[in-house]
Amino acid sequence: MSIKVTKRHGHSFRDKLYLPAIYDGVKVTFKHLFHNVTNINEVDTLRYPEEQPTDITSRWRGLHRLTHRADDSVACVACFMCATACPSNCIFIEATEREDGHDEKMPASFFIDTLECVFCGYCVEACPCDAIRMDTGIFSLTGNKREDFVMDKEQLLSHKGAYGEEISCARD
Amino acid sequence: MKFAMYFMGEYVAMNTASAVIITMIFGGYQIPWVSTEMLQENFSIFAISIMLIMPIIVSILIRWMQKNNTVRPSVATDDGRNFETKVLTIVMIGMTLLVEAILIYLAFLTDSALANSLAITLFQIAVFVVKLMMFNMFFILIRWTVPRFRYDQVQKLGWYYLLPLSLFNLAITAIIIVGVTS
Amino acid sequence: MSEVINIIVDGENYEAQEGSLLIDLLIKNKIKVPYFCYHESLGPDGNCRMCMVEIEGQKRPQIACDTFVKEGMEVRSNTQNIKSLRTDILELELINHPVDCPVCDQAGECSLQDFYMDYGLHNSKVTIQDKVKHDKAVDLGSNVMLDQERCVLCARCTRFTDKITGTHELGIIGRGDNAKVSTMPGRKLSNAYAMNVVDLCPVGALTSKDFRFSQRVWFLQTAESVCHGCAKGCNIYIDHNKPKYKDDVMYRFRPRRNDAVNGFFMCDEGRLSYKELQENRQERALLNGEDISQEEAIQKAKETIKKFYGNICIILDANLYTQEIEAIIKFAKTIGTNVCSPQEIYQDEDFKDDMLKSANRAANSKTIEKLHVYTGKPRSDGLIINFNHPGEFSAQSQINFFTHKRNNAGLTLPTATWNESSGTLTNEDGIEQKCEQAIHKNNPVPTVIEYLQRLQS
Repeated sequence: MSIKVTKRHGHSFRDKLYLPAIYDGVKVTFKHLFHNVTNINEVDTLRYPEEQPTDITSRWRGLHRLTHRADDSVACVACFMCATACPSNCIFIEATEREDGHDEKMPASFFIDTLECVFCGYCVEACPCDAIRMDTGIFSLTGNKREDFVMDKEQLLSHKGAYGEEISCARD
Repeated sequence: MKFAMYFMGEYVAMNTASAVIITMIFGGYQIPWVSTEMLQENFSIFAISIMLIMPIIVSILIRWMQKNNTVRPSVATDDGRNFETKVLTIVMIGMTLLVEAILIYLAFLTDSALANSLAITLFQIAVFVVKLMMFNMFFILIRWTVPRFRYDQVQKLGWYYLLPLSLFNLAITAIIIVGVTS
Repeated sequence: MSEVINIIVDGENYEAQEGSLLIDLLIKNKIKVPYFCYHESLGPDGNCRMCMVEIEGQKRPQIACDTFVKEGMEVRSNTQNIKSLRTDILELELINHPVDCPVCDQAGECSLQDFYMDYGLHNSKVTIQDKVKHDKAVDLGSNVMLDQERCVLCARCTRFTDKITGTHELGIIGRGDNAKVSTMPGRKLSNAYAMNVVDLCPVGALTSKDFRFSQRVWFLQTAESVCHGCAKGCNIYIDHNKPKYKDDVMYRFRPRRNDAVNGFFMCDEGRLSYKELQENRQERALLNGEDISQEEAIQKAKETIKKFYGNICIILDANLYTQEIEAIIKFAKTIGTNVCSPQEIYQDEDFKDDMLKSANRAANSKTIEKLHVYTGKPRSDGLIINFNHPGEFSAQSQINFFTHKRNNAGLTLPTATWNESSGTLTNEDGIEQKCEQAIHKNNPVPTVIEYLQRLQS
């Protein structure tokens, strides 16, 4: 059996002085600074908000939405699976009797507190009706006060899917 | 705003340190090897050289701005940046012309010592600000290079190397001064 | 009469009374056996076939619920054969089941779900479209909703109305795929114990209209308590939940088994009494109808008691816990007076029936009797201190410890209801029973005992 011996660095006088190494580093950063300042358009950063990200895929977890059925009614049946699966307990549902002929149950109110949400997507996984999705592609949400970030049922229903699948896949 | 106060405090400290270093070691508001008296005595030479140098610097700046104050062609959605560049170009040329005119007036058309001194003072303030900016730049460069010092290494550097070095410097300086004066 | 015999289940020896049912022995010894139709209060029916076990010497598996134990019987309940048999029977039960667990209130406490996880885990061979359709959400009356598709035809509900209440409202009509539970045309389920079928139903076929869609059962917390509706003292579970950012709320009462008191059941009135218990609560201290602070109210009460010393009458509610009654009697002695508890108001002959309802509507009147509390009208007209007694009294001054809002003069102090504190009750048969504290409010109001401590300090 052989033992691999790794050579340790930092024991020479030059290394212990630190200054040469720092000088080398400063040289590198200065080179970058000079290059970037004289060629700003070659910098690899996104000029947000003039430039919008183009690499958001359909699997990316954006803001939530509630899907519709083919006849435009709410796909959600208020089964509370999302609220049960939610690790940050940010989904608040109240169920009520359904009058539109599908199933029996629907949400009377459906709130998602996006300030508490960790965007883990467990609610989407848990949903048996494909009623909640995170495929809106909305990555930035702004508001003036905390209440603006609590999405209610109407807001969630008004969000559009960004990747073609507009209606719930699980429901007729 | 609380966070801004805290964060600006960092830069205030940096500026203060730079100003102290410049004043103590790097000649304050003076240009190297040129004293205020020399400037006052040769005011016309000073004014002419400023008049020559300033258009060069401004033209470099305008060139830089026209190249870099733009949005990437792939992104460009409006003419905002171009308009800004245009306005700033005019403003900078105008300012240069104004300064040139004042200097011409001071150097050739009048002979007021007070006006000359005022112009030199303004110039020296500008020199100080430029030095300050260079030192700030240096600070920032170090921060980019060494984002986090390992604290034990900073301590080691200070106590083991920089402190003996400065003591050694003190001794050498003392010897030279005593040797030269005696 | 019956002698103890020995039988062997899965290689272990057990003792049983001769003439008892095999399934009772399995349940008692916590041997896993699935069943829908058997219920200890209703007896065996043998229609669901889930409780099959192998018995040595018998050619085919037998149902445990309709088999009497015999000396030396050898039973096997967990062989591969039995497991696959249970899977097959479960698949049969689930053929026409709509699998709408997401909208079903029973989900979480459903035998079908439990047994599917234990024995099923098969893929359905019938598509949703091919399943036989029946009526969903039929209102049977008496707060009971029927979903005929989810029914497994265990006949517990029909046997309940036949054997327990004797009202015969429910029956199974039709044959084969068309068999379903129903009432007679034009008739409704109506008896004072109707909502017990909701608890009896092992699946989501019968659900409570009152509890419908109000909460998923897995969010609920359960406390063991005793109903305060009458002197019978039926044992109950209080199902409550404190949702995030909200206050603790009760969602339902369920009967808790106690063979000495109520068996398996409770009346509908007691079951729905949770509503008025948490509605219209007195939450602020009042002085002649004006809000005052708790400290001011206590100070005021102390002053009033001092002022009327020697001319005070304490009236107490016969629904208070024994501990509270004892503390009040002790307190009465320190201020030199006696307590009384007028009992006439609690008598309600219309409420009485021959099952669980008692004419005495006070939960702890036996303790009042035992402690020799005077039960007539108050004998003083100076100051009346009323500990939540429902009657109305007139006096020069009043201090009221009320749980619910009432029209009254004098000083009113908000008091915790019985579900917000714990204690014991003695029912009309002299059985002492403990009640746990179920509700923990965000801003709790003091209990009677806390008030007495503050008044004495």
